[in-house]
Amino acid sequence: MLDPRTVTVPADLPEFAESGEVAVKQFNFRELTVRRFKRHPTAKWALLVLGIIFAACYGSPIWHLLLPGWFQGLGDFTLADREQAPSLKHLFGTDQFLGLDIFSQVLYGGRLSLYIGLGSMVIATAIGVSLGAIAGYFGRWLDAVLMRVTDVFLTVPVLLTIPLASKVFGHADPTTLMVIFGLLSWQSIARIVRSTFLSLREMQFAEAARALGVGPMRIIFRHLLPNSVGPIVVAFTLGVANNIVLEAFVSFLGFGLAPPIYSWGSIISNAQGDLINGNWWWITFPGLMITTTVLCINFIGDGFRDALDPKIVE
Amino acid sequence: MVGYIARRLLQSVPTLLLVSILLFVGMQLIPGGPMQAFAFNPRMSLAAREAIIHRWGLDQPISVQYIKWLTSMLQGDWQYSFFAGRPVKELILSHLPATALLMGTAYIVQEALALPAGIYQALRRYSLFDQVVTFFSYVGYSMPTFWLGLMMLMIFAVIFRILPVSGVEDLNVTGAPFLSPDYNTWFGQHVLQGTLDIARHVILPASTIAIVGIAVDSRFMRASMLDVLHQDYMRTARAKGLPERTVVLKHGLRNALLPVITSIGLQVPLLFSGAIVTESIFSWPGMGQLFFGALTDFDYTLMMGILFVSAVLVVLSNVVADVTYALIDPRISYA
Repeated sequence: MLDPRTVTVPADLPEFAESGEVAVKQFNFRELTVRRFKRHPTAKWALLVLGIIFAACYGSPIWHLLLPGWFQGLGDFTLADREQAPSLKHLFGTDQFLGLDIFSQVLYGGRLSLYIGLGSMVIATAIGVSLGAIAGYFGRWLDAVLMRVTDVFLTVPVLLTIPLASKVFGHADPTTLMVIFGLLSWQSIARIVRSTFLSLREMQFAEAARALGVGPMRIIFRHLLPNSVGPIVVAFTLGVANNIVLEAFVSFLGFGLAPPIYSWGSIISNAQGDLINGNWWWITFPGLMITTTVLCINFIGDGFRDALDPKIVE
Repeated sequence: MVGYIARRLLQSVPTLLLVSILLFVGMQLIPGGPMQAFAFNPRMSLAAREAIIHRWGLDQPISVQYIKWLTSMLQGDWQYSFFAGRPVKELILSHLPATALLMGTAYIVQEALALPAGIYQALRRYSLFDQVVTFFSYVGYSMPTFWLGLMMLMIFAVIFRILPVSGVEDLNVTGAPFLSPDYNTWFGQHVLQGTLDIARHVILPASTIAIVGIAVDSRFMRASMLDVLHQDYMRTARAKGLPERTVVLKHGLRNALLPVITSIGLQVPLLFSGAIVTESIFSWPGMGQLFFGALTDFDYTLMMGILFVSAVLVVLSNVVADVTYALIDPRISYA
């Protein structure tokens, strides 16, 4: 894992030099990853932009307190302000129904979109890692059974099952929706973890741990899992991006969140009816927000992939 | 080869059986079960509900129900839709062609643009063209398909009014729903006019799907071509004094296309998803519209049918991808 070219030798360390030894600054894996991530051309900036989006969305109640006239709460609207094009007062314009400021809606709504995207992948990762680890480590019939189950979940398009489950169980409740998304999006992580475990368990350090009498749970969590973090992190980021888009789509179709609960999808869903009037701003800005967020997450995923891949040497 | 295809097909049977069990049990887990659509209908008397439950055999044990459902599915009887009052099979078969048309058009456009773009990007790496296409493929890949569709609809159909808003045909011209007997006779008499009519309608939804697909496939092609360009046999070919054109096209491209073709084959489910999303935006009379309509009404039998058909499509496309890979790669031989 240690790449000789990133190991730096400090020039002046007299006490070592006298004894004829060379001091070598050893980077551990985490430090190496951080260094490589920082060197990725776009990942760093993507992380910054994503941070700003997060802060802006989750700070909405504070912005409302600081700029009460400009950043509106979702309850205070002026009917006279309906269908206003973007201006300094309403950065993203206003909607057709109540005259709500769309900029405020987008930031308030972002909280739920990000919550569902991230939360669902936390659940999915927990499920996927457990199933994949069990299947990959114990092998045999457990592996066969678990992988058939994964195949089944991979075969039915998620795009059909998630709206179905959302309509039936999760109507208009963000947390239930998040759990549904999580329960249906663990498949690829399970596959990835299984395949890395299949090769890792045959490696000598795993053999050594087994020979020392270390139990399977400890081997899985202390020895094998840390070595498969790279692909898991990448799959996690891609999954977050996917689920943010999917939540928007499900809400757009009317099977997910609906106002007065705002998410990026439910704002677009509202705007759809107004599309025919040519009010471009209502639909454009929430979509741009999704695109920007997903773009940043994808760049970060790319950055992680390169940073965590021991094969790539600059 | 025939043996390999047969084996691959046989392997998918257990998966599909498990899928059917999962779908069946999943539907029972829904509060109200298959009767969910009627669960809160105040106009339906208890007796009428009981009658339906009895007629559909929903009062029997779930294992019995499953076996009955499976045997009737295998015999080609896919039951009747709760709401449309037509056989499920008929509904699905009448909506499949529109989806296939949309997917096919998008697929052709997408590959015709993505593959040359990817090849050119690899040959002129880090050029302005490469950087522009790379940027757009990142953006295209990150855009939600349904939002892209809505934006295209707004720009081209609402603001500039150059393309139709929705559907597959202009009812004022054809006078009958797509693929109905009347439509087919009309189409037989006006082949050119009918084709142009469909073509006008397919542009927006197909380009919506294709834009996302181009983003993905041009990246694939570029990466694969870059891999090949650094191989030893390319240097050998140049050293032999072959013209650059022959080196790139015969020695490079042929090898670079191998992994691309497999990944394109594996993308059919993605294309299907894209079609489902796009159909719901453009009211395209295909499987996606049928499914989301069935979901709104909770049309249990119709949903089961569509879910199962799409699972079969996914499994089949995986088999096809495997088989093409075996066919085109001379290094792999399957007895």
